[in-house]
Amino acid sequence: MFGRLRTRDRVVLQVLATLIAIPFAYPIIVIVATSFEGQGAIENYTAVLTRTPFLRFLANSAIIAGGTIVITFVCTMLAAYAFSKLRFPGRQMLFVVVLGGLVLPAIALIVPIFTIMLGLGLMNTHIAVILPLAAITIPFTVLLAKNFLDGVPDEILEAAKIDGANTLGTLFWIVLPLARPIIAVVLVWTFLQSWNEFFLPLLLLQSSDMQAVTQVPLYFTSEYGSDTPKIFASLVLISLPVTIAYLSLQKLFERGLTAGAVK
Amino acid sequence: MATLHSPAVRGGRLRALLYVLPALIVVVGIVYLGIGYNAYVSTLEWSGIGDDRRPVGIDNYIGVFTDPVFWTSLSHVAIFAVVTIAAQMAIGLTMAILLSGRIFLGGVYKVVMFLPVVLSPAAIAVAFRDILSPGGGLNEALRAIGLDGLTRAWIAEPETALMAIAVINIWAWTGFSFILYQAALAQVDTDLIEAAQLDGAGKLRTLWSVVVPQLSGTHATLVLIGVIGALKTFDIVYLTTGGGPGRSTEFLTTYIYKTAIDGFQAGYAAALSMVLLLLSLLLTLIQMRANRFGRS
Amino acid sequence: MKFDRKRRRLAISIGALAITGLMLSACSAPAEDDGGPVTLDVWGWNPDEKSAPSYFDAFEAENPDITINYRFIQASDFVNTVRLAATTKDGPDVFGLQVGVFPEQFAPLTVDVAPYLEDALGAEWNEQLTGADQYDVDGKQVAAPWYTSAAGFMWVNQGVADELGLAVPTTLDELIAFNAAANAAGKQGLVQGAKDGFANLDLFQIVANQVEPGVFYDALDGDEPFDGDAMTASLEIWQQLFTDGAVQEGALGFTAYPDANDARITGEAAMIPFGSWQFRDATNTRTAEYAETYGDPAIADTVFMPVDFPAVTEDATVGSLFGGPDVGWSVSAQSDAKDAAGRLVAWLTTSDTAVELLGEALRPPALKGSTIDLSDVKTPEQAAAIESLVERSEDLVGPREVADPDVKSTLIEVLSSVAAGSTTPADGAAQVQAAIDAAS
Repeated sequence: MFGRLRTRDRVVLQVLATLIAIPFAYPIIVIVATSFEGQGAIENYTAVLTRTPFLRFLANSAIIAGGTIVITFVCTMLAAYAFSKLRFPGRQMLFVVVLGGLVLPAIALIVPIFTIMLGLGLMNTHIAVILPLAAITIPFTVLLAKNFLDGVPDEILEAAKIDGANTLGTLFWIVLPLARPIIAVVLVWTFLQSWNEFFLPLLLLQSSDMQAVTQVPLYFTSEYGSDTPKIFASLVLISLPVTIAYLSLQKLFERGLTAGAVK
Repeated sequence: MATLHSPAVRGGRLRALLYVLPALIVVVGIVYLGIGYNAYVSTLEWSGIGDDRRPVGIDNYIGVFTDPVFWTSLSHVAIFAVVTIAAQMAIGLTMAILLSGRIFLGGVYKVVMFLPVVLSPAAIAVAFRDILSPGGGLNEALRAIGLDGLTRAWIAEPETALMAIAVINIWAWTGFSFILYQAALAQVDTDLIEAAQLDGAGKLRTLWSVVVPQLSGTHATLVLIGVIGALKTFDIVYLTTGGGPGRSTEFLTTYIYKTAIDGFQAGYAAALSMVLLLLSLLLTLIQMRANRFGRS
Repeated sequence: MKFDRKRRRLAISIGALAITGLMLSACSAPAEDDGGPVTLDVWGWNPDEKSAPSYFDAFEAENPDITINYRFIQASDFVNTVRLAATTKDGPDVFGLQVGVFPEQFAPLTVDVAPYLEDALGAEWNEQLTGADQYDVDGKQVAAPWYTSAAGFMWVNQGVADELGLAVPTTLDELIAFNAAANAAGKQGLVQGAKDGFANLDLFQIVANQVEPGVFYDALDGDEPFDGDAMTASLEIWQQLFTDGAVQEGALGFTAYPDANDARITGEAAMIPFGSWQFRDATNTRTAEYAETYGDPAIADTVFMPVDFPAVTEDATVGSLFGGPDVGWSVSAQSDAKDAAGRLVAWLTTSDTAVELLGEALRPPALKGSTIDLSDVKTPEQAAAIESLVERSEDLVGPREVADPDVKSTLIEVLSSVAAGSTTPADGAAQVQAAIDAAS
């Protein structure tokens, strides 16, 4: 956007960007570096894998995240499309209703969620965690996706209509391909929300076999003292899947943007 | 504005409702049912355990508004919201603009900015409790540049603890503003920029007068999300200061948690969460209204 | 016609659902008391995963018809998790319960364990269990006390004190001087996990009991003013601990576990005001475990010594201990196997095997007349100190835990704000008094 930059300007930009980035990089370096301390990297990471139910919890978290992503994605794209591109009675009001779900933190809803899941007979199933996670994520993803779709010119959709596509077809064949950037955002967002959740699995899954990956670091705090490097090693390991997901979707994200369909 | 004006799309208006229905069912079935339950509990004096519930009408709400801790917590949330939203937007936008200059290693910078967003609050809290401790990285850095006088126990002193939490939040969430701005910048009308530059406007002025206003949708979204996010902030506070020292970093959420869990006052905690809910709704509606004014 | 068929189909589906539901619930309710094998879900924050099997394996060996499924939950999340789960059949059959505010709050979720204790110990059972009364809520025995703990002293990492060449402080001035010298050598003296309310309650009780033994408890009971001289003076000293360097810089940001605990185990700090729940630190086994956990072989040789807390005033009464049951076991009112659960609770708290295992872990069992095993203690000095503390624990000045939730949270907030300097001792005392008045 700056057009062609002179070398001096580029150096200034480079220095400024570096100055901003350093404080953002530092804590990550601290986390990784600490995970190498103590008995050493190999020992620490091996301990996380062997002395905790890491793989089982990983699988549990994958189920939870996968379920949440499917529900959230479907609900979000359908709703955002309707709120942005369709007219129907009560549109504005219903949008506010969905957005209203944005405002309460899960921690204030724990007891009712528990009671609802108990009533539905879903206690001690992963669905008991998936549904509330989807419910607290959807308002936000709908807001983002609707905002994004508002920026998609109506003309493209009109054209699709003239070509004979129905509403669902328009969503599927026209809107979704255009919406790839926001789809990436929705996916990454839902993944990290569900992956990093601590309280819901702890409180809603009664069996210790079903716990989520966020419980792993706690295995290194006990009455025998706490093993900080291994705690950090588990934090690094449990952060990896989300990081990888972000990094791999980042490319799609970029491609979707630079493809220029939206401009 | 972005609506199809012709009698919507095939299948009629009511069918459009079907698109919204799945989201509504999930959100209403859980969040709103939860809110309804909280509304009921907020009219009780109840420990949260057992059958000893006594209806007290609006007493809990009267209690909330006469509770100094409520007002203290609210003021903390307000300060926190202003500081974190402003900083996150400023840094996020600046970085997005800097990186649009195609600088060396731009991809790495991008990842560095966004990585904190994907980290779990647990990881962030553990790292920052270390960095902000008396012998931690921040104080070491200050000593290294000769500012020994500024070193302190950042999260342990009432004067700095709230700002310390704000800093952690800024670190954790700036990547989000950054990424939204980056996406938005890619959609900025380049013709206008070129036109402005043809008019002889400097680069910074072009930025300020042409680019920044075009991002108004993103600004509005970030403010909205930031306000709600501030009201909902819990994990980071709970895991770093727990609301202390004293009440110096008490947020509405940590107060609700303590009241319900440690204080065994489920009714009062429910009333606090209803007030939090109404507050967020009010702020959301005000912003949505203001937003629409801005656009027309 | 069409509607009729729809309605009939609906009725059939509902009927089918109901029958399925009944069958399911019939299946999930295990037949009780038919002598068949039972699995008990047991939840606790203590013992942790590592030490739990020793108790539950021994129980299973003696009771082949019962299988134990133990879920360890961190202390910080325990109350939150159990209070929800114990309202359902999916939750625990047996769960751990602390004294203080919890017996009364959790009473509706439990069954009276007195009959099981009576089976094991006879009619006079409650005289044989230390602190059983602290779990008595209006005549209902909410839990059976397992082992007891006492606080009121501190632990010294002798290695650090020797390395610094300093004598263990016995007065506040010496303590402050010790800390300064330790800081100069790049270490900490006394570390306090002042982010944690429970750690502050412990340390404040040490101070208050030095100023005037027992007044703290009388004040909580409403028999003495909390805003009177003794407690106000105690809060003033409390504030001084933080302003004058009797605890480490930034103490209010330290958790007791793991921050402060790590510091004194690894030798970064010399002293910590923990109590008898750390007796095991004096053993070879535990220090070897620490050495492994922290990856430092030197810790295996560290002598952790329990010592009286330094006198905080000139005419202080040093050495009062306070405490009571540390962990008790409750039977969930929702349990489908209450009798088996009751047997487990009685076994844990009264059986020879369990009491012996507790003794080996240097946890004084609540069962009177039982002893702890000092054979693995490193030095005779440590053994003598522990023996003397156990003896002194028979005469406690008060219960350590505050019973009213409101008073407890007010007290915790006040201690933190007074330590931070944002509330004056007098204002703090008045706030606690107001909470006590409101509670009574």
